[in-house]
Amino acid sequence: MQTKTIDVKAMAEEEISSVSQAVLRSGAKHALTTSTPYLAAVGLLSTLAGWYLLCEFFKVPYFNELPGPVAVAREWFSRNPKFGLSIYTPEYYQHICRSTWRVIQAFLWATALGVPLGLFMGWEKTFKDYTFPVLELLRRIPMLAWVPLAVLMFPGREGSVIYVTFLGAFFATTLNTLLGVQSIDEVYLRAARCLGSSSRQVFFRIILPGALPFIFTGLQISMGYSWFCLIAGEMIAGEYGLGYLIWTSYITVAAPVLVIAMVTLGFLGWVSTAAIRLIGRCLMQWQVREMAQ
Amino acid sequence: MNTVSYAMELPGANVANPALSSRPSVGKLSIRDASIIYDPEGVHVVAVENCSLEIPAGEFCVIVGPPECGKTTLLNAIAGFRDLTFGEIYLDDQLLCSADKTTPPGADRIVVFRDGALFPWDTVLDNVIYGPVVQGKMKKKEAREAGEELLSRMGLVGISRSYPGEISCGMRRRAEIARAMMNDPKVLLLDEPFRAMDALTRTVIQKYLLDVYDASNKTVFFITHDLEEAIFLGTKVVVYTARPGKVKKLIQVDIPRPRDFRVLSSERYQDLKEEVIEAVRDEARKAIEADERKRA
Repeated sequence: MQTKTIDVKAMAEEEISSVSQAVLRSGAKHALTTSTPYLAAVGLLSTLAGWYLLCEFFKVPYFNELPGPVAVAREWFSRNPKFGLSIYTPEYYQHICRSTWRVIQAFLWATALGVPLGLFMGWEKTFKDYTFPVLELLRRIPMLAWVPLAVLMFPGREGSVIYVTFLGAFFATTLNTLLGVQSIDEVYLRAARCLGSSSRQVFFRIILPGALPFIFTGLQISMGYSWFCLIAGEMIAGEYGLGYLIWTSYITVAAPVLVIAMVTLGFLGWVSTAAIRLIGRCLMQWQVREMAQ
Repeated sequence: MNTVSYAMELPGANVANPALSSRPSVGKLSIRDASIIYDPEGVHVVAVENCSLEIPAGEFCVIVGPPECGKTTLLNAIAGFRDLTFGEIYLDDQLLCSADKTTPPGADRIVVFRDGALFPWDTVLDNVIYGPVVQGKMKKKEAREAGEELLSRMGLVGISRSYPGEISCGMRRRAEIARAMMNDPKVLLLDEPFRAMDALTRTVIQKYLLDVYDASNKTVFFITHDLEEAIFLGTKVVVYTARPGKVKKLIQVDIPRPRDFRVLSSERYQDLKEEVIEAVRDEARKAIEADERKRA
């Protein structure tokens, strides 16, 4: 009997590893054999070309104030930037680091508070009945409206920027987590109770994994909000940071720097969201594999 | 390990004469005058009315009846998901459910749900060992071994690390029956478990269920509206009336076990089928008429 069990295990392992290899192989192939990456490159390049044609080739008057891609690139990759900011100046990285660090702090706070709050709201109906109206009301206040109050509330500038960034992420995370709990099919809860789970086990083995897909959708959205609110906060209350950089470039009419900061923000936002998606995929292998079917 | 060896003493396909295996002493269900009324103050829908039914320990009892006749409602009461308005349900002479008492769901009465309830986020093996592990009856390692053993006896080899979403419907149903059997329940409650299955797969899975039953002699409470399935599987077929549901007819299926597909062409099977069809047809007509009246 013992050998039989081992056999079964070995077979299972073999099968799984061959499956995962197939998935990996098809994944690598997928990247190159489908038209998706090529079309993406074409789209990106034609956007750049359009920008170039409008601003620098035809010099359409309407786009006078917008620096063209060549002007921006020249500034960005210059050892002696005209406006004092390029990939060779430490300030550039200082701005990036400050902004990223603020987003990370705010995002982690929002996740640490929002996910448990959302889970608990979905778990305890009474608690939800207390908190949901408050949350709905606060959520409706545009984040920008919080900025002046945040500046007054927090003694340092840092605190107020992080607070506003946190708020943006917090509501999205909480509400999506709540939605995730509510999306769990009643039959799983019944099955879990049938199989003798305690409340705690139901929470950790059904509610949490069941809500995970929605939680991760929420985290992606909240990451977007974080960057959004961060820039608003930094423009008004910041010292350093990409939002601050955009604002000062506007005041000093350093248009190429402004564009550099904007493109950098777009890139950082994309990377951070992709990172969350990747973590989500690792945690939710069951969904990935289901979709691979 | 003990649990499983008790549950599945004999390997799948070739089951020895079940008369030799001792009749179980646990799992006797008595339903006495049970009534379930939805919203008694308001709409007042009588789902189950004065239903009385004795299911001896180890009997395979199949409930057939028209749709919405209160079969599932009764199963939910036994499982502990809802209470009775009147009457009592006893399990081994202990009060399980009455107007004032509901025993919360537990591993002594495992439900296999209509559309399946394997947890999609756990692997098949983690699903199968869920019960004994959360109840603290088995160590995880020990449970894994027992689970693998049980899965291979159910013809499920090499999928223990797959997720339920990756395997076929028939495999999922078998895995779910295995998850139930891991708990060594007193009663197995199956609510139209093979409903969403094609006819070919269904016959195969039915045979697996029969093997499990023959090897374990658990009390089984099985709901279906497939009459052939009812006679093929059951020891006793209970024909339910249209809503409000109560027992219309009891039919003892005296076809000897272990049964296989040859049963389906036997004369006795045909006679029984006719008897059941006779009993059900009236009720189905009534149900349809009631439905039409409601819509008119």
